[in-house]
Amino acid sequence: MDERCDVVIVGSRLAGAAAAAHLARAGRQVVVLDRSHFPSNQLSTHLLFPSGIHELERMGALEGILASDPVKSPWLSLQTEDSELSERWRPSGPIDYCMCVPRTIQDLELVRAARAAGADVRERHRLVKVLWRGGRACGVRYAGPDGGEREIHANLVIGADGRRSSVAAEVGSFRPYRSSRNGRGLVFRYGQDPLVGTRAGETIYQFWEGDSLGFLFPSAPRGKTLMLFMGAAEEAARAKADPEGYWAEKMAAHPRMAARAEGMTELTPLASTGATSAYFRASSGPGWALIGDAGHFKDPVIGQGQRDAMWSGRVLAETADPVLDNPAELDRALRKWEQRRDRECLPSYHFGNIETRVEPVAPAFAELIRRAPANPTPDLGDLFGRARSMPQVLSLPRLSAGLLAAMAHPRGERPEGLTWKHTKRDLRVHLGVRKELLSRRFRSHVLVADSEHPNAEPPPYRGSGTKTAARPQPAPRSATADAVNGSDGDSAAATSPVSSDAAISETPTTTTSKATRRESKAISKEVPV
Amino acid sequence: MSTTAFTPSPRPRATAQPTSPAPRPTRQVRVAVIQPCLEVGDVEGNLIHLEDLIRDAVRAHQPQMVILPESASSPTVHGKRSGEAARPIDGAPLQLLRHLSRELDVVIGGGFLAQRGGDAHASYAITEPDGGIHLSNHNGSTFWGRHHSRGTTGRPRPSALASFDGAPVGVACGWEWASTDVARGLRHRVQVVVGGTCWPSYPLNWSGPLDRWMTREHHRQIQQARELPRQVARLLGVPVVLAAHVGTASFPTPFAKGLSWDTELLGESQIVDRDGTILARLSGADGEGHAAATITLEPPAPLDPLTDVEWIPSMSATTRSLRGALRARGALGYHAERLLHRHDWQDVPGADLADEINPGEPGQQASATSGPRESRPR
Repeated sequence: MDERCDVVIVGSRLAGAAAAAHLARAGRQVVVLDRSHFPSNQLSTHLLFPSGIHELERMGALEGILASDPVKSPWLSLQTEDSELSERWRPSGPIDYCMCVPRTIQDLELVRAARAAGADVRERHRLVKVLWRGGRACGVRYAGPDGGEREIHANLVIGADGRRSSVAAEVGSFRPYRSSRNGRGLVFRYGQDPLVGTRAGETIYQFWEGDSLGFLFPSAPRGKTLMLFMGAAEEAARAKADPEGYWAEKMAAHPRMAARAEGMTELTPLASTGATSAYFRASSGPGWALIGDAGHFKDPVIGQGQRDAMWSGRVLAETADPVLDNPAELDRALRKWEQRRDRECLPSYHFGNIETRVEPVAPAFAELIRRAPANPTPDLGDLFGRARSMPQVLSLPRLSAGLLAAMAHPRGERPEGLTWKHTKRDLRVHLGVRKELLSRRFRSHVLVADSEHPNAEPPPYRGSGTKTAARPQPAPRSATADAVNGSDGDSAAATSPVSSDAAISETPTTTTSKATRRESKAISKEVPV
Repeated sequence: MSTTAFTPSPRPRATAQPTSPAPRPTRQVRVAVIQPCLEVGDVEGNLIHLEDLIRDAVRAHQPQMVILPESASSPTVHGKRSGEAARPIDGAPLQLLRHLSRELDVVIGGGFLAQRGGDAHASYAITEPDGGIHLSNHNGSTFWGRHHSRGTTGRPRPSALASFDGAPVGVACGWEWASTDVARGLRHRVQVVVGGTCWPSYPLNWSGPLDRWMTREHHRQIQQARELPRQVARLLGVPVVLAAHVGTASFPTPFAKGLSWDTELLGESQIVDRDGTILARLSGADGEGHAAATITLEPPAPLDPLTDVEWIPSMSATTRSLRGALRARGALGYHAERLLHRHDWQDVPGADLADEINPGEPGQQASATSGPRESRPR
């Protein structure tokens, strides 16, 4: 028998669970479909800045996650070759720390929070197709664990099913109207940190060495730590071919990260990816919306995917709830929500595009780090914490001052990237971003020169669910087949088969024990950033 | 005001011959017209009703092409309710045509008030089963709608005609059907003209001498609506497929606040052969419904000469005067309200689609975006 509810959401991870929790708490009848069975792993950016953790708290999932004993990291350390900045995170509401929680723990708590709020979350349920009536999405047909197909009708259909969103394909919005190719790839592993309990063990590190980036994030449970290199995207293949050789080579090139990671034990195998193109899809239409990675994906180098997924779910819920029973008003509200999401995400989208260039740290930015006071108040960390946007943190006067300071160095000591060509390009990018934000264009397909990189490779289209529904149901995907940043459900109730864009590859290592490898296998499938 | 032409792109059918590079001289096409009875302003309700009508017409006639009238999302009359019918160009009205076209394997044409970029337009879309879409704006097609959409000045005139696959199809809406200039623009250039009208008549609720005057004009309008498709077919020498609204409408009288204008939408949906033979017809008295006929697409052979007069039918002085006054008032009102940001649709962020959208996978449709028109994704 067909069912009826207010909202049906496909995907129950970050974005879907956030939307479900807020809508259900507002008294709406919400059904969430997800093909996974929780706890379930998911490739992801893991790292949550204070604003992201604040979203967890708002949706009611934080308490459960804290029970897993994650390290709270109130400190940020940015290190270039000749300078270091150490500052605290600016609080977002009551939260003044970062966390890096494995998705097996985190997503289970998200689902629990959505259920506690009143949402009906159905695991092992697969989307078959989106239903239409009068030009509007009006529900979905889905297949349950027994393979039987049923229909559920709703005022609003939300796609929260990740980069290869089946809902996006069903509503005709799979092809991004705007995208940018990543320059950097990811290679990472976990280890057990001997500095747990010290300030260093509660600090989020970012190391610049030449054009290579290294990161170190305290994780969960306490003591587990994630080590990540983001060099050129091509390095992912090298890491796969010779994992330990690659790791040793990177550690040698990153002496400060090597010093920080000294004594790490229980190293997991390496995981890597080189395909993380950023994009915007049209994310709203009559009776439907795409949230999280389903609608927009930014380069993982700045680690904003998880926070933006929950933010977009919450704001969509708050926007749609008052007008859910009026189709015309709902469609207007959805479009305005998309505009708001774009304005929220565009600055960090461009910031990610800038950071993904395989170049040494920008001279002006390096000067800002060098000139930071010894015990600074929260400042540059706002770029990641989202307390302020990139144009607000890197204001034009501030960038100019940094640039002039870099130029004041004696000719032989000037930073490597300080060339007229690069300086002109960087200024043009920052001006272009500001111009775009001022223009208030909706779904602008006008690219910002030198921010957006050509030859992007967004997720490949595999056909809509209507077509794939006739095929045999694919086996549950392993996390290694999922694409990157997966802030939300790539493994949601999607009809897409396992993607060949298997961006992440896990490389066996020969230097870790079998027991360690077994234990670390699940964790190593998770992509941090 | 404009007319456009397109040719359905070739698509595989069970009975289709292999595509030949040479244009086919003749082609038999089964066409259906839908004559709907719709509620002013109730876009979402009207679209559900249209979906039922389209499905019913396809079941009954197995057409290759279904034609809806202009303003098919809501009849265009005077008053705020009509203006509130504007939806984003990629909104529910276009999605209805897109989805049904694919699902039912039929070309569908229909008009709706659409927000395109920073303006509202009286748009007409023709959607194809392979995902191809042909959009055109017909802003001068009705003087009632001038207040609700960005208009054009001067007499109706055709835009450049696109033609491919050997069988160009012209699109005309409202007053464009009656325009000699539009007919001149389409003559010898298309092999069929499709489109529709939304034609509210003169008020039927006024009393005294006004009643007699308005009733006389009303009957004249009915006669013109009945004759016009045949006249156009003979002037152009091609079949015409015209879908019209039917039913009643009530709206405030322009320049006379408080006076209601209660009237009928004239109907007269017709499929007419190139020689003026009516192949299928739904009059106003027939009410809501659909009709179908098989037409032959072949090179045009005009039968009647074009004259230099502005209108094909003989317009009464009342109609000419009213049209002039309402268009002027509408244009002023549209631009003033746009400047003051008072149009209902201005509350919604604007984006636009290219006029010609290439066929493609259902999941990968072009999205409405903003930016330079020439670089808009197709």
